[in-house]
Amino acid sequence: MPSTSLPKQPNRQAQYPKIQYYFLLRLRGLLCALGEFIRHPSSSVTTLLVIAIAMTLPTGLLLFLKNIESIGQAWHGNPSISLYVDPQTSVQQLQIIKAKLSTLPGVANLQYISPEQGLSELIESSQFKNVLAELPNNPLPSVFVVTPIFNEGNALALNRLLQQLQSINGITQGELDATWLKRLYYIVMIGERLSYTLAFLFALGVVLIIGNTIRLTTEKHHDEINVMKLLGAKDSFIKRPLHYRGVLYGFLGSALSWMIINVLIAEIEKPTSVLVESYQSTFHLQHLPFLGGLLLILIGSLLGFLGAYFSVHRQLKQPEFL
Amino acid sequence: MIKFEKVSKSYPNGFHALQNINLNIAEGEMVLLTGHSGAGKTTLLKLIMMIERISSGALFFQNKNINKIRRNKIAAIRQEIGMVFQNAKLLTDRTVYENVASPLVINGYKPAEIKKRVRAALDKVGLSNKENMLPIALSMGEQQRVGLARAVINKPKLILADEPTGNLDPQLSAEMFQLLKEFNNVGVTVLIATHDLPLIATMPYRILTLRQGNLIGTQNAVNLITETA
Repeated sequence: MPSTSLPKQPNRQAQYPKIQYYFLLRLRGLLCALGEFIRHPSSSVTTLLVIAIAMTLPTGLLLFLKNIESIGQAWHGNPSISLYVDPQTSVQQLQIIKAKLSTLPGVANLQYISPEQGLSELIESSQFKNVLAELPNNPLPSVFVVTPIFNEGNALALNRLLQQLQSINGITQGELDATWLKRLYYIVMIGERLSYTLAFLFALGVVLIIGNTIRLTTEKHHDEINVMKLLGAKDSFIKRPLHYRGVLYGFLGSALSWMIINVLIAEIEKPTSVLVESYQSTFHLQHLPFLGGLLLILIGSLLGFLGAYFSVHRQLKQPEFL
Repeated sequence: MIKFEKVSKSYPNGFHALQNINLNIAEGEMVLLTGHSGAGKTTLLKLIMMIERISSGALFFQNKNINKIRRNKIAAIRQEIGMVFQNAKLLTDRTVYENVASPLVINGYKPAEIKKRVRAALDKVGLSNKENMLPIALSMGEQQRVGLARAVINKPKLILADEPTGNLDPQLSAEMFQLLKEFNNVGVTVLIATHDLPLIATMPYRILTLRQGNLIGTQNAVNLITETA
């Protein structure tokens, strides 16, 4: 080379050792992602807020339902389950059913009401005593009244026990003598399904939001990406900062969501306690547990990565140009 | 260094960009590639850079059939090629120093080595006093020289230049060619696609002419100018 020549081919010490380079590339990716985030604060914060809201809605609803469910658990009433026996059942079969019922876990007490006993109780409590007394046959079946053990007194567990009892051979029907608990159970069930559907839709929303944000970035830097590829950059070199950016959005968005949920719970905790105390009951609102919060952040980060992955993958498939 | 064996390139719409090209460029050679717009000059460079793949034939770079190279190995081949673009294609939000350093950053060079090489490259192209400037503050000629410094920073075995003087006035064009010649003088193979006929007429290098995707042979500059006129 004339006057000023470039330095000769460097020895290996000019480049980072492979292991060090491996970590440096990742550090570079993280710094690039953070840098991009800081360079565009308003759009970054807007995206974060949208992600946080999208994650707060299903998580908040699930937490709300957990609290509703624990209202059922906190209820100190003593529900019972009436089991109606098939009228064709023999005395021996009745003994078998009784034995089976008394051995079931979750059954605290068992009471047998014969058809005769049932009819006499009905006659005593009814306004149509004369009519009932004139009946040629007793139409009432034998009934077992099951009292569940105390810690089985929540709506979901009671319904599970009811279904188990109904499946016993010879029992034609079972009835939980706590209609509101039944309703609560179904409300919670509907709510749970709704929140899972919402969670799925909002998760998809988060993927799309982050994917779209990263897409806008890649479109903005389309020429730069093209040049870097022509200079010999591997796809991973280009992808990594964008993937990290997606993860960063998901991570920070879900952390913000966790914070919003805790603030909301703290806000309504006191009035809820006052309300519950007015019914002479004790109930404490559940916060999002620490592990739940970590899970939320993990899911958020994963969704962020997915959004970035699909967006960058599509971008890198676009044809290069000179 | 580069060998085309019956290389053709056609597109799905039926357009034949290159047809049955046979070409051999030796190591250390400087070759000029010329032809009208649409003759296939850029397509030929794209094939060497593996931006596009050949439709038939075989294309060798350093005795490797690069058409058989898998996608994830393309970057390693490109690191051995320095590309000079028509419009420099500098990263507008990075300084001159950062632009020139980018191939070394990609390759994991240490900052001290990067600094040494970038300074030397900028010194070579006469821009050592502008390393902290953004490309927008440079003239077209300066931008093109930054592009050249970036192309040679990684010590490539081959420099491909696609219309490197396309946006430059005659004096700057001559300076650019001079720089490319200097790199060729130290053993770097150089392939330049250009239609700057008055300039290449003064050069003692092999001139390849493409016409409608066909290589119509090696000509000297005088014949080429007469024929084109």
